[in-house]
Amino acid sequence: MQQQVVERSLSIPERLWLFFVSVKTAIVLIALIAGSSILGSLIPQEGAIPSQQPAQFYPAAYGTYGKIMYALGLTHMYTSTWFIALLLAISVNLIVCSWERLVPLYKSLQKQPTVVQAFLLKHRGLYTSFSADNPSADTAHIREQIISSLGKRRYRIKQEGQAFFAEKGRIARFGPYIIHIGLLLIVAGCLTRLIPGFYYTGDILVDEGQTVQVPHSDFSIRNDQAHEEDYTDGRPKFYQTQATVIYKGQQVLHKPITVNHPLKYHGMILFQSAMLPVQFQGMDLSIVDQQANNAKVGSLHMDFNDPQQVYHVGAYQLTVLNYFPDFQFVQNNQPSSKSSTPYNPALIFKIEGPGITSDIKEWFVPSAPFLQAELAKSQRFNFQPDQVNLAQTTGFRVQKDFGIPIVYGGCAIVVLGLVITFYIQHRTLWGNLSEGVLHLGGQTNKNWYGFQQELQRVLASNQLNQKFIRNKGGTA
Amino acid sequence: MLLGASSLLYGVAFGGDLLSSILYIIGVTGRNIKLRSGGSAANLWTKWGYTIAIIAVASQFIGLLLRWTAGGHAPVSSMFEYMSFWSFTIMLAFVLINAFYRSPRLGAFACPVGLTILAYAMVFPQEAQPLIPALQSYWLNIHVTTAALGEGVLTIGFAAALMYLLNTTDTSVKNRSTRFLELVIFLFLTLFAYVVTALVFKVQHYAIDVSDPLSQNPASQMTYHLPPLAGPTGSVVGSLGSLLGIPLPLFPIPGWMQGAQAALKFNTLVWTFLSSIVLYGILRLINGGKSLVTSVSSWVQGLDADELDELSYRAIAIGYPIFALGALVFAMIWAQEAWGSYWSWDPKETWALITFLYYTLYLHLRLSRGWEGPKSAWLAVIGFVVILFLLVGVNLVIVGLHSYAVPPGM
Repeated sequence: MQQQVVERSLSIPERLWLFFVSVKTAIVLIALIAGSSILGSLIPQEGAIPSQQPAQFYPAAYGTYGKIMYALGLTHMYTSTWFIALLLAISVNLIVCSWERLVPLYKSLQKQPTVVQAFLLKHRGLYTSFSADNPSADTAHIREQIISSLGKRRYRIKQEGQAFFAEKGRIARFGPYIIHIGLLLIVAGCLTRLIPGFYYTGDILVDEGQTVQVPHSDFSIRNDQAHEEDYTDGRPKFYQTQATVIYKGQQVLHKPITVNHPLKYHGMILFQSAMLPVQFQGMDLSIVDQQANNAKVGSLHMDFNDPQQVYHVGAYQLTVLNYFPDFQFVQNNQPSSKSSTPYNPALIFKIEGPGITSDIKEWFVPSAPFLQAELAKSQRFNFQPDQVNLAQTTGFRVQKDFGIPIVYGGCAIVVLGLVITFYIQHRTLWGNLSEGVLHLGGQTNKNWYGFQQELQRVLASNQLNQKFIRNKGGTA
Repeated sequence: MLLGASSLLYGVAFGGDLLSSILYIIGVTGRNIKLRSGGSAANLWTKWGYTIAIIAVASQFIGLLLRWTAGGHAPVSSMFEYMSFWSFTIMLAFVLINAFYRSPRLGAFACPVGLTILAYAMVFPQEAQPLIPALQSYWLNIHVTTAALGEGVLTIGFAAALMYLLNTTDTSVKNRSTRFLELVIFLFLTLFAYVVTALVFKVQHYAIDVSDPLSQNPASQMTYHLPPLAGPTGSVVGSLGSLLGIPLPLFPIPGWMQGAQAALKFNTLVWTFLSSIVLYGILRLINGGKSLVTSVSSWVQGLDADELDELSYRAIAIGYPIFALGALVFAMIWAQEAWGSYWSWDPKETWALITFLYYTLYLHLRLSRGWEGPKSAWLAVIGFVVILFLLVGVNLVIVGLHSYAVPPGM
């Protein structure tokens, strides 16, 4: 009958359990996670490449290897299916391993015997004895002295007949499981991101004076003023945005947002994450006729984010032939635009009107007044800025993450578990007075040196200078 | 004023590290020298070595407090500051552990490591720079100092493990174990040789601007702080003058070496390799042609191997939680405050995790699979390489959010 039980092949759940309960599995999984992380840190990840098309980028940059890397998901390592699978596997391993060992450990610690036979005590990691052969040694008295000293050192003591059992720091044995629970909490905290509405991250750009609805929230944010300071060597010194939270049309909160000091409102966190260079928003300008003794022709308002095609100024008509929001000269002095943001706008107007027979083309470059003055020498009309609206733009990282408290709680438990595991020692000492000889056998889970010192001090405080002998690999 | 006094105290610490290294090494090599009083000279040497080490730690502590006061933040924000702080934590961990375990010969290994790291720090520019916005947080003080303290204690675990291996390996036999130990000594000498070479030219304020002949971009110009043996691709041999009759550059790097400042980095490698070969050769000649491991292992003969094994493990068991707290937990909290994400797989934080996982493996193998002795000691030795990569390699090889730590010209 029994034979059959042993030979019965294991069911799949049993095999899985045996797989996950093994420390060997844990070690392999940790090594795999570490190895994948190394690969992920060495291979440029998709977020960090100068291209939006990873499928084309990697083969072009690294040839066949690039193709393989991309196909295996090594280019987005930390979100790849198999990396996530490894993380889930280690989580299952943590649960199964802890469950399988925690209960037996608890039971065995509850059942520690008070009476241990003298011949067994001799094989404990630390052992010494006091014998009655020595006339000065009253072993029963020594036993009392040692128990009392151990009590002062916060050992819990149980006595039974002539035997005693002293123990402290039992919780150290549970430390590893506390760490594992903390780690599982961290994983759970990260997984809350999968719950709809628990997690959002994005970036918004808000110009000075602009109000923008914060995505995935019920409020808006207004950029009242953006402020940037640099050190003399050009490195950034300070970024700050004076922001106003607007909720249901009411201004509910004014707060400066700086790097390292985000704004928190209704579960959303807004971080100062970028400061864009100053850009031209709008401008009121007058146009004067240099051939008519600088007589003012008229004025116009220009919106650099959306210039009109035609402006009517006085009797004249200005047609925008070309607009370069971020003007630069490239090869062969061809004008072009670096970007679509009006950091350095330039326009070419065709001007028509009374007395103009042949077409007049004139440049307007408001960000370069010296260049404009130079141009004015050869141009009939001149452009004079009356009022300029410049704006700085703040980039906010917007984040909502309800998992953070769980993750932080997990971190706190991990640290607590680490402290308990590594800085507290489970120390046990058994004593047995048999046939006039007091046998002392001690056992700890680590730091034998420290334990021996402590026991030596216990003896010394009672004017005893017997030395404990260290048995390598003593049995508990 | 404060900065001047601080530099002076860092200098005292450097001198102290050097002197205590010398005293300890003489102490462990010259154990046969007897004093007239009959006692062993070794005890006297190592006793003084310990005293000087304590003075060095105290001096650097005051020095960094002064620099902290002057700068308004813990001096851990540039490569110079961080590396010198790490050296401080190594020496501090040694002084504390030695007070408890009384293992003077540990000093012959820990002090040279602390010295070399401090010397390495001095290769980098020492100006105290004000902080960029991302670093303006009290978390800088908390996160970086705690992480460095953990790394310092883990480094002592490495030193004790190395002693264990030297103690237990029969170096008269040539086998894989002795060859690897010789390699470890060689690699340490490589770091040492690089530091000495770099400091020799730094003292002379050596700097030479080299432009890339294949690029019109003025930004491609590089400043060499070591004589350019390796020039950029396409540069002409001898076009940059000469050093002791050697034309500079001696050779242009091949075209397939690309990337930012590839020639500069390769030149540093060439110098490091050459100077380490020279240093190793000299030491080997002094050693009568025998491999260095035969001599170094004699420093630790007579020590209790099990105690060294236990010491190494204890150091790692103490350092591991501090490292986890500083390099991961505090790092996560700060990252959340500054970047809006407690974890973004930035290379530095990824490598902090890798280091943590590595020591997690060490502990599981030791405690659950019974890997004590040589296997465990080798893991602790390799752990030091992992920490070195975390602290130096990531900054030089990989660029991430922490890239402000990349020093100019490296």
